[in-house]
Amino acid sequence: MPIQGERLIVEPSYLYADVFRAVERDPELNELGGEAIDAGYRIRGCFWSTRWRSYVSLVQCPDGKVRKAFARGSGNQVDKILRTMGCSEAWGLEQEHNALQLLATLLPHHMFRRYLLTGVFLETSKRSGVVYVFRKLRPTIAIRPRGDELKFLCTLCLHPIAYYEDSWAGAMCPTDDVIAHLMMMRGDEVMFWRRSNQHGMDRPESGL
Amino acid sequence: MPDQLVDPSFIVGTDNEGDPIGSVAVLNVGLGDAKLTFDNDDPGEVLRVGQMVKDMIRRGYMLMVEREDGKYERAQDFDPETAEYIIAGYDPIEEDDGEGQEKPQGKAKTSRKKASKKRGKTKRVPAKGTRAVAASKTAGG
Repeated sequence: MPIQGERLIVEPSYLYADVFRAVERDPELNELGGEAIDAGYRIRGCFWSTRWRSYVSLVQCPDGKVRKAFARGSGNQVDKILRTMGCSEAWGLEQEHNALQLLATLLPHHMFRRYLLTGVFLETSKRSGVVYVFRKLRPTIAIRPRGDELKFLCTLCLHPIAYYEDSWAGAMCPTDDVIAHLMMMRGDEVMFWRRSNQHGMDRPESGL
Repeated sequence: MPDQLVDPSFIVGTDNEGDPIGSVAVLNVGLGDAKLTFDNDDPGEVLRVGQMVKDMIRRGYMLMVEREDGKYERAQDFDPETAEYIIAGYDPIEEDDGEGQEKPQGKAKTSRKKASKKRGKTKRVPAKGTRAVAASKTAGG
């Protein structure tokens, strides 16, 4: 469901993709971290800095010099959290209830109970041995156990149909996204990794 | 704490002869998840649902089918005439079943040839009594 002020990233071949694209942010807006910048400035590039734990933009100023700029709030997840909460207007309680009922048929009782109480549950892939931590409204964490140690691989983020930009919210209700992750992991793990956006543990998109 | 967390009406039951009914849970927006069932007592309905499932796969939906051993595999296609899911035959888990056993020397190449031969085969799983979950194409995240 389109939400005013939020950009919905839709899978292009989805049947109603054109309808969803009708409500989007103004593409003419010259943005830096979600805020408009003055005319005459041009964003030349953007990269992630491990040192500063933030996205750094290279901005060309009117005098021709290129300077670095930090988007406000890019080092923390508060903006993402608030935006995700706002996107909850797109979901209905009945849809979430139905999804919970479906998930209950796919998980053992103790795992479903953990999900109800904490929003998180674990499952180990029978194919690869990777342990997946499925989370509500956050990317799935992939962990490789090595003896007594855990090696964190990455976080996997994907949403069927569409998702809201700069948030962890998908077009479907949260538990439907979890079910999609779970079923893709079980049914075709290679495709799950191929279609997901893989975020490093230090990135704000990882939700860690 | 209730003992039963699942609404009984959500669990797919059986037909008039006591055989389990196949179902496909389709993850969706808007009104929420939809459920398609293969009603064994109505062949016309089975054909109609089968054509819907085939159309979904053609549009890029991912269909994860539960096998009899509890594992899931992605369905590549669906035959509405016979109401069967068509699954790629190659399965790395099955190929690893004999990994722990000692193999006689000189037989390593033979096992690799057998694995490559298996990739071309497909398996058919009847939709009747089989549970599946369908999800649309993904938009990243």
